[in-house]
Amino acid sequence: MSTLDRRRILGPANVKPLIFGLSSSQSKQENKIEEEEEEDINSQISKTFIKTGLITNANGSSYLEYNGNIISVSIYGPRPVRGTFTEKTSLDVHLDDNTETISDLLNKKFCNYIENNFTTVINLNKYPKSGISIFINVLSINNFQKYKYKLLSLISDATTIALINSGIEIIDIVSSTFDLNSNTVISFIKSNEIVGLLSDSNKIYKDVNDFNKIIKKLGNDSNIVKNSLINYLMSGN
Amino acid sequence: MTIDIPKYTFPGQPLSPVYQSSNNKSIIEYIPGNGTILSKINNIDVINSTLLGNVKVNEVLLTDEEVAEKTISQKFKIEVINNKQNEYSELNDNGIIINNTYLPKEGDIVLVRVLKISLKQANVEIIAIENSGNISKESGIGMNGYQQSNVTSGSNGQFLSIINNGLNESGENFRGIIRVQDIRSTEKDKVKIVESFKPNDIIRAKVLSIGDGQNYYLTTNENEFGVVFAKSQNGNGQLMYPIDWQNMIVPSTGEIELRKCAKPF
Amino acid sequence: MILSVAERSYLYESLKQSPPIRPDGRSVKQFRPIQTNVGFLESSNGSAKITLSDGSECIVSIKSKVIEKASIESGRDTLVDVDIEVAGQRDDSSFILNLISTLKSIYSNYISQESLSLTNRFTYKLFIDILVISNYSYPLTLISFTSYLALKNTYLPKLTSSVDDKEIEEQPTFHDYEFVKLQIQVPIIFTVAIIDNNYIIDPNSQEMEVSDNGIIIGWYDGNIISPIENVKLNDGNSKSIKPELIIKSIELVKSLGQSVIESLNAAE
Repeated sequence: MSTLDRRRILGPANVKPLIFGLSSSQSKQENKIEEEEEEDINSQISKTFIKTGLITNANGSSYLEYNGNIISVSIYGPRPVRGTFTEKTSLDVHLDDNTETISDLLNKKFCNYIENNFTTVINLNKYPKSGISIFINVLSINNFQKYKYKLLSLISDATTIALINSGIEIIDIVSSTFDLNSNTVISFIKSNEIVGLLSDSNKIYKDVNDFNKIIKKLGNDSNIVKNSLINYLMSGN
Repeated sequence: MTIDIPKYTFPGQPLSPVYQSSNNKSIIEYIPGNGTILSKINNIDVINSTLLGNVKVNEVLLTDEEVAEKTISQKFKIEVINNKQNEYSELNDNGIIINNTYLPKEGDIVLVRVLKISLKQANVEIIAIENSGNISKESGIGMNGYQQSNVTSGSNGQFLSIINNGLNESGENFRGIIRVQDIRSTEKDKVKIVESFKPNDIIRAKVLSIGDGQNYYLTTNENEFGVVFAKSQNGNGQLMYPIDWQNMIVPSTGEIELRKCAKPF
Repeated sequence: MILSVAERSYLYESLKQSPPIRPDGRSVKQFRPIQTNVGFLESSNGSAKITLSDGSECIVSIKSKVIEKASIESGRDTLVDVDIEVAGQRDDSSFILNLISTLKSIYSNYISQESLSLTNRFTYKLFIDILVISNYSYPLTLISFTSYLALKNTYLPKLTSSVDDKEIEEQPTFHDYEFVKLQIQVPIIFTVAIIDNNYIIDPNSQEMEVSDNGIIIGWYDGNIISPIENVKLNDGNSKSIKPELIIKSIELVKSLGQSVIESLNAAE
């Protein structure tokens, strides 16, 4: 996306758009999330709302709501990148946090995670000399301190749906799941192969098997998530 | 045993193994087309879908060599046509869904607009690819500008700055070049750009190669390629119609201008 | 590093073998030789430099400051601050910011408050300044090893005033020339590259370029800790990882950690 507005469509640079709806203080409300519910992936899925294609300007977009977290993802591209010849497309991720809860460092970490995930998955060779931009808009967050990586897993799922909506070729559906206890998010493709892994807690793994169990559990959950994503996609037909 | 190929598919779904044998022991080969990718499942080559949409299976004629070898009896190409059908989707008049993420590749036929001409080449922007619609949406800051606040601090700063510097007033389209020697196939040394194209002409051309970082290389050296729409007097006049392969006429005034015309359908 | 198609496929095929044949002849769990230097910066409390065989070089300087504990509890300040500069990278690039956020979270989790505590009201705050002068491979392991050496060789001014300042308002005072060595356990971070069904530790630039994916794994006191993350080691060649390989890499790191610590300690 260009920041240069040569056609003067957006008006002066310091113009602030009108905002309707919740102010940021209201959207920061913290609904209580039951920890038992975090364990029950099926009930989470039944509470998730997804819609695609809402942003007509973008090549693809998705909107996802779950338990006070609202995310919208829009995909722009593939579009030309001038300069030296590139055989593969380059991916580029931006996260815009309307609630102003995500710190800059974490913002970069999220972007990096999404970028790593999807460079693995997008069929990059199909789009030479071009770039794909992923814009993530976080509209509302529920209990960020505890569930920040839950948010990341939701962002990743929303991005998958948006990419599919855009018609950009991807080798498989990425489904991400989150483990509260170890503060881990893992993104899976195919039969439980991992494209993204992020674990950040002060937990000490005395036994390597503990981590294995987390991977197994998240792998099982991700299959359920994947199936429901497929169900959603196929229901459009 | 044959495996049924699904009619509607999602990314990651295996569609068919590359080789299948039918009942009378003849072998059918499937080749991956658009929207599919070759991958391996348990060391068997399989064609996987990469898009959400309808599966199309078209027969491909066998080459003489393949007929002689008799190893395969039939060959099919599997394609997935992206289907964005939902209540917000965009359909063109024929009900065909436009795939706006398909990029031009070698051999594709494209419609281009001439931006500028020089003695050696005509610079063009690619507007559409035949059979797959517009090259890209009016994305970014366009008619319905959609602004992001932290664009410059993106995760890949270099890439963004390239986009910013590269944009021009005429839009964000992919660019191409038609060199003077690629305009027609005969008497190449006599071709003059000014007698073939003028800025703002719409040309039907074929992609020679995906070119360098800046441009695609295009050609009009076949009968059906060349100018399809042009206005006289450098775009100030009226729409012209071809009268032969190198002249166009304004019916009301009788003005004649030189162009390398495309053969009308 | 740019490799030709032939070079790339040759490297990939040889690293795919079992056991993998690495371009520099190392085994799966062998590090590149390092050259260390400690305590050479007079103006800082601790410093270290590591030079790798490929010419990568990292300098870490530790400085300290006395701050009020209250400011940490209120969240206005942190016990450890990390700053990284890598030659050829912009300060605000996502690469640098990700390195900073990884190191910040690992150090603030595992550098104990007690080890830096001065009195009931005051504590030391550590500033870890990292400078990567030249860098040919993913620098996180190099950085964490150098920081380990620097932190292990940090000398802080000796406190002469009373530790208990709860009742009496008193500024801490320090000895004129005596220093106390900082006694802390420092976590380190390993980089493992995944190539097909193989995993290799401490990949060099060529190995990175052909690898399918990379994992960084934290190690502290004989155990595996966060971060456990996958990292992009090259542009656009990444593939998915099988979960078994992650577990195997973690096991490898767990078994290697102690011997790495021992050799780093020997460098002092």
